[in-house]
Amino acid sequence: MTAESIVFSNFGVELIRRDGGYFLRYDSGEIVGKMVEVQISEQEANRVKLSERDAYEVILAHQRARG
Amino acid sequence: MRTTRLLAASVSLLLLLGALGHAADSAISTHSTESAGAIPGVSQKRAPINDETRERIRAQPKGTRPDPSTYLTKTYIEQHLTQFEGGCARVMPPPTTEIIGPPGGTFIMPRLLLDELLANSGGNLRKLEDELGLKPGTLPDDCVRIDIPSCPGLRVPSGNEVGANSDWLPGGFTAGGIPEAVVDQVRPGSYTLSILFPARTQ
Repeated sequence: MTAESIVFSNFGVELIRRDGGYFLRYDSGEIVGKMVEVQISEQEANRVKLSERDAYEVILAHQRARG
Repeated sequence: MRTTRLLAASVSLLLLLGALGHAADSAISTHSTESAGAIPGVSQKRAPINDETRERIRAQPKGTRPDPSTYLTKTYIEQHLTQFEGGCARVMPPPTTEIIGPPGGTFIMPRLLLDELLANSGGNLRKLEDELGLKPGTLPDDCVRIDIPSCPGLRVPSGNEVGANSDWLPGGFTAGGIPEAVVDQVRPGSYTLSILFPARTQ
């Protein structure tokens, strides 16, 4: 069982600390949605706390990286 | 077969809208086109966008796609959005945040159409998945519907949304022919949440 803690929740995202890393959990936003979780850097973790727009940009960067 | 049912549901939705006194002719009947879809012999609802434009927009990276007003007429956009005047809705697992939708907003469908699809499913989760064009087992037993009466920031999707996946098509219809739009993130107090199939969660 891996301990995790939600260190931030706003703008429709949750920032999770787990195993020394940062994970971003968010609603996929489709008509039939699902919860998505991606690992992000500390810099990105700091950015998602700033605004809805910043959180969007972090998610978008990960989606584009995945192709 | 599934698409046929979706189209039938869309037609039912439009009849309902008509019954509710919506003066404008539907976007579906007046502006969208029927064209050969990915399934041989099955027609799909599509926006009036030619193949070249559609693929050019889809090829652009998410975040750089043009505003729909640059390739759709104002009349089409207005009439498309009238389909959501009865409220909008979506389906999802139980949310973990009070705010519904990812940053930038969420895709939604007309509430009346979801009502229709649910009625057609007869309370069968697998049948609803089929109606929505989902793989069996996609929806969890405890999935919920979110009803949003006011549809804040209602707009035609640009394809720049977090929820625009690789199947996204410009013009406001899913690949399966379901009318779709986008709303801003939905705040607590602006939506109602209900379990889709309560009997499955007991």
